[in-house]
Amino acid sequence: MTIATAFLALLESGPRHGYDLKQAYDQHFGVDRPLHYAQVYTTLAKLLRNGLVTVDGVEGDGGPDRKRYTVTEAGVTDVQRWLDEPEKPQQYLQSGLYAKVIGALLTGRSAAAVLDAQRDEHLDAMRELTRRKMDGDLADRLICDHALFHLDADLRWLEHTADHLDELAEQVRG
Amino acid sequence: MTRVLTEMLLGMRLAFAGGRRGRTRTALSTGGVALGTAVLLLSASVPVMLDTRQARIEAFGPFTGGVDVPAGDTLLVGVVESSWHGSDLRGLLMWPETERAPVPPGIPAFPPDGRMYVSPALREALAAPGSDRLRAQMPYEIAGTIGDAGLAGPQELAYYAGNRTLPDRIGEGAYRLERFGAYRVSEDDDTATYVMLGLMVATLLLPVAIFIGASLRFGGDARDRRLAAIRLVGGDNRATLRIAVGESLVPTAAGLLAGTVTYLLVRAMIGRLSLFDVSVFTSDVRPMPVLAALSVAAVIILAAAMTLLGLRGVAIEPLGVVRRTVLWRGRLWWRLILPVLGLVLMYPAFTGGKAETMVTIGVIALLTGLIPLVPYLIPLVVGAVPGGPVSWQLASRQLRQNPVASTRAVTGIVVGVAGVIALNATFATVDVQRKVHDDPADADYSIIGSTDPSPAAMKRLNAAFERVDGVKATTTASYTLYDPATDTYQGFLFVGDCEALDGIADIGRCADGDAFVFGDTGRDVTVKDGPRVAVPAKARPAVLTGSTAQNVFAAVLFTPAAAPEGLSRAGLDFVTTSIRLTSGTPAEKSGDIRAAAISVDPFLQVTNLVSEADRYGAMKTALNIGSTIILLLMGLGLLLDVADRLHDRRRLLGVLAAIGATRATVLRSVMLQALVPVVAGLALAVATGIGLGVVLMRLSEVPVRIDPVAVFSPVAAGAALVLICTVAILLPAARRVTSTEQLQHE
Amino acid sequence: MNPLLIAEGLHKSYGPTTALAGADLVLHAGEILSIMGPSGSGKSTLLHCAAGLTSPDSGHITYDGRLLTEMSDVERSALRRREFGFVFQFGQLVPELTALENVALPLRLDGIRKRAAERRATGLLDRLGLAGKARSRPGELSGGQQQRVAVARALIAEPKVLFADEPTGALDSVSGEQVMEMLTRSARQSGAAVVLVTHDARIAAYADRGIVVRDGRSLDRARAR
Repeated sequence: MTIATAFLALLESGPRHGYDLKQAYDQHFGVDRPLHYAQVYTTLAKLLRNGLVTVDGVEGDGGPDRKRYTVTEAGVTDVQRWLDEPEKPQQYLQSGLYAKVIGALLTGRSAAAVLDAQRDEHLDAMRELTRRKMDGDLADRLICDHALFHLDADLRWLEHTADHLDELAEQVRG
Repeated sequence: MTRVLTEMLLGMRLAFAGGRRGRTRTALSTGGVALGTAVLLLSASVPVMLDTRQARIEAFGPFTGGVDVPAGDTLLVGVVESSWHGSDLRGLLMWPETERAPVPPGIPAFPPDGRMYVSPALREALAAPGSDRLRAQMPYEIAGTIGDAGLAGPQELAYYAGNRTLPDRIGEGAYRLERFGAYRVSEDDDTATYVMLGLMVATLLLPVAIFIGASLRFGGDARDRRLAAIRLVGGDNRATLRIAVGESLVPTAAGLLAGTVTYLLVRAMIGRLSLFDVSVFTSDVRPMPVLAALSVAAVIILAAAMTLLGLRGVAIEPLGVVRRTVLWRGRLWWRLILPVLGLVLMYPAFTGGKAETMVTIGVIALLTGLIPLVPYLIPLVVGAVPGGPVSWQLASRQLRQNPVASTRAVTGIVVGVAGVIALNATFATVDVQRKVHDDPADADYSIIGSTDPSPAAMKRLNAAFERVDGVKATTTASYTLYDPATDTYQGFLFVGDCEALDGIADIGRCADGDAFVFGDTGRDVTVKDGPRVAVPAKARPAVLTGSTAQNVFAAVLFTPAAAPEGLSRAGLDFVTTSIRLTSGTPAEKSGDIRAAAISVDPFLQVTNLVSEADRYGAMKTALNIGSTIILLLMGLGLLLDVADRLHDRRRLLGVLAAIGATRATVLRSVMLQALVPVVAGLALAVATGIGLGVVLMRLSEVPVRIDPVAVFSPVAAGAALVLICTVAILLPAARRVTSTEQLQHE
Repeated sequence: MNPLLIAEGLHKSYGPTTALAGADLVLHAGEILSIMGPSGSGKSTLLHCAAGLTSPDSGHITYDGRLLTEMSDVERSALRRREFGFVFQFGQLVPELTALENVALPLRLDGIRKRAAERRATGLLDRLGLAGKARSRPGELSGGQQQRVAVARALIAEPKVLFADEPTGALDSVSGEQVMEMLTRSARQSGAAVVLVTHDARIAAYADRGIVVRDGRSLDRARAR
């Protein structure tokens, strides 16, 4: 998802000013990374150029903050196309974690220690996310849950790998 | 202290919770405790009842102890003993010799000649339809009612009549009485009845105790889980025990209350009942304080003991219930202690001793001893059939593993059935015995008391009795013979018509004028206080029959025409009228015969040589009612037991169904588990019941005889009950239990 | 600060099965400690031993300076009433008692009068969002509600330690999270330490600190470091 698609989706519910767009974006999409105003206006400029939005009114002095943007027919089609296209599941085949395990085994170091250290790191991260989740609203919770489920999956892989370390070592060295 | 109280209260609170199963459990144990309490309280009232009754009877007893009282301010009395519909009928004829003669307790004044005071029960009987024959026994007009002071019980049949012929009958049935209650007669103890009562109370109470135990254990698994949850939040071991006891306290207390109410109701109605020909006043029924307290204590202790016993072998830990797998050791020796003790204590019954308390305790010990013996049988029975289909394999494993649990509900049936068999068998034998004469040659009734030996008088007597349909009456006059040389008793001289003589001896052909002789009489015989009588040369030999022949060494029998002169009243022994029934039963005819006798002379003594009424009739009724209640109770217990065990093992059964056991297999296995203990238990019950029956028959002095119907009807009832209960539970439960959906629980 | 609960060198076998082979545990006042591990690793046994519900074959457990392993049943029961609270996966509520009575039970067992105990229980139930369910029996409550009742009961006596063994094991993830949040929040409010046994990292993440049990041995990375 790009910032442009997000803006189009936000505008579909009604015309907005640039400032409103930034606020709405930060609230729903930009959990960890709020937008810079520069990003807002370059994106809007690009959308205007491509005919996906129009300016439907200017108030006051006509500065960038005072323009109200409306999504066009083409813009709505764009949003529809984005939603119709499922996200490609990430394959996770290139895992830095796995590489570290193999590295440890190849060099005769303790792969278990690598896994233990990683588990601690993961659990620390999960505890931090859980704390945030308990203090946040539903949106925060869902975002945190997304991360928690992924970390949980990683942890399960860690446990699973830990159970097969001896076997793996034989294969790697053999 | 408050904690202990809180825990008990919590337990009581839990008794009311627990849903349908919990309520069933509370209701059942309440019922069991109530029944037990009522029976115990009634038993505790028996001593007081008998004592007060005895005191009453003694207070109005018109006896002198055989002493001739000189004339003074005395009352002339004559006792008329009769019976009506199997109940004793007591009549007292009286005529005061002075105005200061003693008035009998219960009536305000002496009844005038030809009038009588009657007991309320007799008044009722006289008013009932079909009482003409009763009325004929007492040719007096009713003047009033006898008060309680003159009666042994509310149902007693009695009348106090004024009769001015008494002065003429002194020495012939009438005698002088200085005061009432002067001479105390003790009722003779009846060992057999005493032991039978003991056995009956045991037969009824033991199953009730077992039922109370079983109902308190019902839903025990849920209780144990509950207690485990309480342990987790900090209840210690003693707290769980207190909570469990508190829980059992609710049905115990409610049961004690309900039992007391039942007792009071029975007590209130008791005046209307007549048991063992004994009726009692409600006011006479009150428990001996010590026994009542003991009864209440016994119930409470029993309930608490059963609860604690149910917790034995179960460790309730905070993490759950640990059932210590108590290995079934099946040791025999301690199980034999009680039965052997029982047999030893019953030994006097076989030697003819009269140690009734000992024998009763022995009977109860033997019966109680059955309880631990039943589980011992199960592995033996199961072991006898090692192979068999899967259902049997499942059932036998389960049975072997825990024989005590499998037999818990059955022991009550075993004890009950054993007791019922013993009593039933005895009653049946007594019944058979009752219907035969001591000696088949004897008449059905023998009536003595007339003092006129003239042939005309004897004819009149016969005619008086033969007015009753189906009665053949013959009369003989008998004179005692003695040997003047040695001054010893020798035999009798009889005078009677051919028919009468035929009734007491084998005489062959006979015509008036004949004479017969029995034994070694010599040429002549001597009548005591009478003349010497020559034995006629033409006298033919005859053989005395029946009880007449007993202790007679010699006898001379004369028809009236041959009767020697000078006999008349001198040396007269008895004028005996023998009555044989040609139709009807003694119970039907007795009233008429007694009435006929009284119409001739109120002092005639009618002795029935066959029983008119069943001596144990009331007891039989009580046994039938009692055993029905007990068997129903046992059925209920069994029903719950099967349901409980199904509930406990529903998961296991579900698993069986899931791995492909057919419903039929599962059902057969459950069925076998219920039936095997019953079959084994009933076998034991039959053996014990017959054994006890033999003891009772020995005590009742009847020949030992085992009536198969009496033995096997309780067995059949017990077996049918088990079948019905098991099927009743199994069929509806079958679908539920064998569905694999049970696996989804937990 | 001295630890509240210390378990050292715990061994425990059930017949041929070894559940614990030298497990340790240290719990400080007010902290939430998770015990993680695969099923069969001995983590529940470690909790049961630490709470005095089972006795270890060898090893020592010190609670508040006292040796738990040498206490009698009565003393340990008193400890369970006053100092410990328990939340298990299921089965710890008395099915015959109402939610309110269940929550009030530890106080009543400790001799507190019914009315006072139930007043406190009502307050706690309200805080856990169960105000309308006080008169319901466990069977009439959802799994999540039952566990919240269990949490209320565990906390009613203001214990110093709350032992939770897979408290969300029988729940869906939403009710599981609700229960966990209420459990941790309430525990922090009352200052109770929590020992939380779970195989689920997302549940363990509610703790401040975690140890892992594997093959009956505990790994406390925080101490090892």
